[in-house]
Amino acid sequence: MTQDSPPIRRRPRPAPGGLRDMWDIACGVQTIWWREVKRSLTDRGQLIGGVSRPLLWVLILGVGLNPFFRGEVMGDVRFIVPYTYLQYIFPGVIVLNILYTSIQSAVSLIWDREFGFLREVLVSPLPRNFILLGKVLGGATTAVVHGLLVLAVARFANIQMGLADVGMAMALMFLLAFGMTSLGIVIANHVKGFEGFGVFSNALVLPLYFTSSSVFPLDPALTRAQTLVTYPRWLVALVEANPVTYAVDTMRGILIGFNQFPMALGWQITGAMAAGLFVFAMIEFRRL
Amino acid sequence: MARALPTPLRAMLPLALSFAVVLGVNFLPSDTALEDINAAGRITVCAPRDMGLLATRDAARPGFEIELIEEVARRSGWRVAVTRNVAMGREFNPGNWRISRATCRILVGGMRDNAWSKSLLELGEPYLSSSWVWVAPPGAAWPPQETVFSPGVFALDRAPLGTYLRENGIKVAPVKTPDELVEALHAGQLANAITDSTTATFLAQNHDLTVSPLPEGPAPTDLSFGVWKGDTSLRLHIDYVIDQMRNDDFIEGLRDKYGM
Repeated sequence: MTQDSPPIRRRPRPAPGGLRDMWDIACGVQTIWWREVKRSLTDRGQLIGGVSRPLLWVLILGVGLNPFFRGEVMGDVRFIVPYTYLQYIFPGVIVLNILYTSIQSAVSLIWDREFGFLREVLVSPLPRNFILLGKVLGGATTAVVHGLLVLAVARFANIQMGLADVGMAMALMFLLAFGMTSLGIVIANHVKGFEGFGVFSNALVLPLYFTSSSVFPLDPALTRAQTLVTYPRWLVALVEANPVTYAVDTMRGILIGFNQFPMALGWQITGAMAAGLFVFAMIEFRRL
Repeated sequence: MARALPTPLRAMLPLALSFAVVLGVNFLPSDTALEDINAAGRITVCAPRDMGLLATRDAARPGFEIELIEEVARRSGWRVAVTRNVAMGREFNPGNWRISRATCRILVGGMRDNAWSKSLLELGEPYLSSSWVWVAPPGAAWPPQETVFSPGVFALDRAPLGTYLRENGIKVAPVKTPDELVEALHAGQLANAITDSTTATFLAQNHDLTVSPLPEGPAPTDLSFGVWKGDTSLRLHIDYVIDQMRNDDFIEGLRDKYGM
């Protein structure tokens, strides 16, 4: 007599149509998001990086260059810079912390792939796009917390903000972090080991940061022709082509009331970048 | 034996510590300006030689801003040394005043809160504001066909005034000084004159003139003291002392004294 094994009942993957399925999906996304947040926010290495960047860039570089940042050349006012260097660089340091943290959050994908956790998650009933969404939301949340680490130094940089300003800054931080975490996922998908990822992320983050008008202003009081006389044409082209420029500029508009490009353009470009990079990450994630 | 923290709290301890470290940075001074002045016990001030009610050569009534900064120094335990600069007030570009940190740490005398001033200086919270007004003997009507114009002592921005006058079809007969403005009005050549509100108040105290705002005229400009860029700790300290002076009505009393 043979004993038949009980039949395996496969539960179909939930699809975002029915209310019950949507609830299951939301629970799945929340679980992945919370795992990412817990892992990142208790990672001492990432936290040390998150604290050291505002300390080095705001405290050392900002204070060091503050007295030299004037609109004056040989006693003649040539540039209109109605803020201090500390105030100028501050929004850029927030963006720097977000760039690093969001892209580094994606390193968890390499960990999960190495230790087999990713395989277990991928065979779960949760659709892949929502697994990705949970990971990206987790990375973006961590990056916003790291952005807040810089915002906590606002009093030192003599930046006065209302609650509405903080809310708008956080919304922009989240949009940027969402796009950059998606980009990190794309990179992590193509990189085999942790070492390669570190080099790749540095090679991407620093050029994006330095060409985003974070450390020097393209003076809005100058016409385009004057700007091209003041700066080399290739540098102006790089700054204007870099989408992070518009995020930094909008952040500066929110925090110190000074922006070089229209603020609406900054929101549109950052939003489009977040959506575009997430779609790109979705395509890449399906190949796993 | 001390009880260990619950695991979730222990896990969040590094994050809490990180925020504590960055928040601690806020208690550091961002520069040494205030420390230097406290150590020397002396503050150097640059002011124009003569600027209406704000800075005068009269020792008994040295001017609103001179008395204000003297009181700030008294409350801070500093001595004051005022350097009179001829170019201030005559030349509107601060870059051409030929002064540096070595000459003075604070600049007073109608520092306008605008991007031009902020390119060189950090400006404190405004304590006065000035705008274009019209002055005339009692009974004169507005708008006239032609008016006397004196730039006054503040060198307010003339571009918006020019636009306003063109829009209202008013011609201008310029004079160089407030005294010439009074002479022109008394001679009866023209019935009205335009100048800045502080000069107008000063003139109305000594002559039979009334002061009125320009109907739907250009917005007023705030005035404040200036410190060199990077001297943020000094600016914040002076702002704090001036705020105290505002609360104990010292500034109100000073305004009354100068009829502002």
